[in-house]
Amino acid sequence: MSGNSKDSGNGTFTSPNTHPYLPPEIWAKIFRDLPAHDLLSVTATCLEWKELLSSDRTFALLELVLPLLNLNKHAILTCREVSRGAKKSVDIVLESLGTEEYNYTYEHQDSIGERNFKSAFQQINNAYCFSNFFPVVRNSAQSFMNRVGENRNRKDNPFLTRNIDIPINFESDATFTAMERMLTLFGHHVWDLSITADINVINEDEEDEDNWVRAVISTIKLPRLLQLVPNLKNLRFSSSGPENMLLVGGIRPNQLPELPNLVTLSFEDWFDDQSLPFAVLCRYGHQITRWNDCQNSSVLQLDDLAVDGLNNMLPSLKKLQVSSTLASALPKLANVNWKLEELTIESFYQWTTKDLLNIINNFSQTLIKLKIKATVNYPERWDTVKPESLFDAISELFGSSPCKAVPKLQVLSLNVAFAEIEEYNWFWKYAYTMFGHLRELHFDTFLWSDERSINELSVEYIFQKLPNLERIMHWTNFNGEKLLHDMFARD
Amino acid sequence: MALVRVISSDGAAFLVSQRLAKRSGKLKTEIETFRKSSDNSEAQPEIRIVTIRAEILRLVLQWLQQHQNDPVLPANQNEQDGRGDAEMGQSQWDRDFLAPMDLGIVMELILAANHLEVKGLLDITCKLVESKITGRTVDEIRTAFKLKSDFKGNEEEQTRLENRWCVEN
Repeated sequence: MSGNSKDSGNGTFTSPNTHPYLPPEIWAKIFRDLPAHDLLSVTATCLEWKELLSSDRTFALLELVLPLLNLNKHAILTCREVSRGAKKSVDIVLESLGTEEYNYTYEHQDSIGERNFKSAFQQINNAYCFSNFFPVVRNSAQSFMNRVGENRNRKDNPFLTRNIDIPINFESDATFTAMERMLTLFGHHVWDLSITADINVINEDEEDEDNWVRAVISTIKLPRLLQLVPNLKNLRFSSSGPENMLLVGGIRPNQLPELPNLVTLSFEDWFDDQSLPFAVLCRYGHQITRWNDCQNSSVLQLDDLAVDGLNNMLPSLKKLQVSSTLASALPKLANVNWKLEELTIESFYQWTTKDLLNIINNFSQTLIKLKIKATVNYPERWDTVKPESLFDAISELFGSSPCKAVPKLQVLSLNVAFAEIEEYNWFWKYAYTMFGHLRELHFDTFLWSDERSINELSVEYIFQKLPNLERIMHWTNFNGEKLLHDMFARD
Repeated sequence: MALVRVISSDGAAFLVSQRLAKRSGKLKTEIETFRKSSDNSEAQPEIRIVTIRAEILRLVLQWLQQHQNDPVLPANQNEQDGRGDAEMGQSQWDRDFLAPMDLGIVMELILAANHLEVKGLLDITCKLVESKITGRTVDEIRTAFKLKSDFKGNEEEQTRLENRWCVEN
C-alpha cells in the first residue's frame, strides 16, 4: 500500500490512501477513542496505521494486558501518571473490576499474577470505604474533598473503581452534610454502591442476651443518598455488628428515586430486618437481573409474598442467590416462572431430595450455572429407607421420570458430601439425564479445615456418568481461604 | 506426520505439525474438536485465530518450536507458593528472543500466549513487562515505553492527588 507523507510533528508518519484522504494526525485522533480490541484490529489492517499507532497502541494494549500482570498497588497507580492513554487504560480496568458482578467463577481460572492484581485492586478500592465500623480508620467525605479537590471538571471521576461504601446512618449532621456534598459533586461517577448500617452497640454483658440493646437505625437519609448516585448499576446493603437492629422511619417504595441503570441488588450481609429489602425490591424489582437474598431474614419466606407476587415483582430475574430460608419458601422456588441462568443455594436445614429436584426441575430449561452449598436430607417418611433403595422411593414419588434434563447446564458446584457416591446414589443415578452437557464439576467445602478427600473410584464413576465432563475440582477451606485441593481431568 | 494449518487474523497460513500445535492448550482443543466433527480422520485441520496477526503468530510458533521438548507445565504449576516458574524456565534463548522486541510487541505476545494457552511464553513475557513497570518512576516508564506526557492543564496534578488518596488510605 502506498501512502502520502506528512509531518505530524513527532516524526514522519504516513497515511494510507483513503478517499477522502485524511492526514495522520486526524487518524491518530480517531483512534485515540477506540476500545483496545478495535485498536488491535486497526493495527493489523495496514502498515501505515501500525506505525502511526505504535506508541499510543502500547498503552492502549495495557487495558487488555494489565489484568494478566502481577503488579502491586503502587505500580498500577504509577501507570496512571504516565500519559492520558495509560491513565485511560488503567481506569477502564479498575472500573470494570469495581462493578464486576458477584463472580460465580472459581479462582482456578486466575493465575497467581491475576490474583495478586485483584488483591492490589482491593487495596485501591478500600480507599473509598466511607463506612467503617471503627471511626478511627474511617475515611471521611470531608477529607476526601479536601485532598482530591472540590474544584474539578465534572467529567473527571475521582473514585477509580467507581465502587464506594457509605453509611446509612450518620453520627452527626456535619458528617451527613459532607457526604451529601461529596455525592453532589461526584456521585454521578458511582456505579457500585454499598450501604452499611453501622450497628455500634456496646454491650456490657455479652453473655446475657436479654440485655442486648437493639440498635436503632434510621433510614430517613436513604432516598436522598440514592438520589445523588443516578448512574448506579449495583446496590448492596449490609449491616455490621450484632444481629439485632431496629429500623425506624420505615421506607416506602415511592420515596426511592429512579435509578435506570440498576440491575443488581444484594442483601447478602443484611441481617434481621425484611422491611427495607422488601421496599427496595418493590421499587426496583422490575429491572433487576441479579438478586442476592438476605442471609438471616430471607424475603422469599415472607408470607405476603406468594408465587404470583414474586413473579410480578422480579419479572427479569436471571441470577439468584438464596443464603438460607425457611422450608415454607421452598415450594415458591419450585413454582416461580423466572428464567434463571444462575442459582446458588446455600444452606437449607430442612430441605429434602424432593425440594431439590423440584427446584432444579423448575429452572431446568435455562440454568447454566448451579451451586448447591447445602447437604440434602431425606424426607421424614424415608428416614427408615436405606440409601440404596432411595432411588426407588424417589421414582415412586415423581413417577417414572423424576428429573427433567437441564440441557444448558455447564458448571455445577456441589457440597463435598455429594462426592460420597454411595450416600448420594439417588442423585448420581440421574446425573446423565439431568446434566448430560456438564463440563465442569466442583466439590466445595464450607466448613473450616474439612479435610475430606474424594476417592478415585468416585471420580471414575462420575466421569463415566457424564461423558462431556472435562474436569472435576475439589476445593478446601483453609482458615477461610479457598484452596484447590485436587483437580481431576478426563484422560 | 500429521499437520495442521493455523491461519492468522490477516490471512497468513502456517503449516505446523500437530504435535507442536498441541503444546498450545487452545490449539489442542481446536484440533480435537475438528477430529470429532470430521468424518474423514485423515483430513487436515484448519484453525483460524481471529485475534492474532501473522507477525505475532509467527513468534509464538517460533517459541513453541524452540521449547517443543520441554515438559508441559500444568496451568497451576507453582501457584501455591506464588513464585511462578518464569525464573526457572527462562533460558538464554528466551532472553535473546525477547531482547530485540518493542514492548508493544511483547504486550501483543502476552495476549496471544494467554489466548492460545501457552503458559511458558505467557510467564516470560509478563515478567518482562512487569519489570519495566514495578518499582519504576513515571519517567522511567515513559522511557521504556517510548511515551511522552500528553497531560493538559492540571490533569497530571489531579491524577497525582487521586493516586495519593489511594496510597494513604
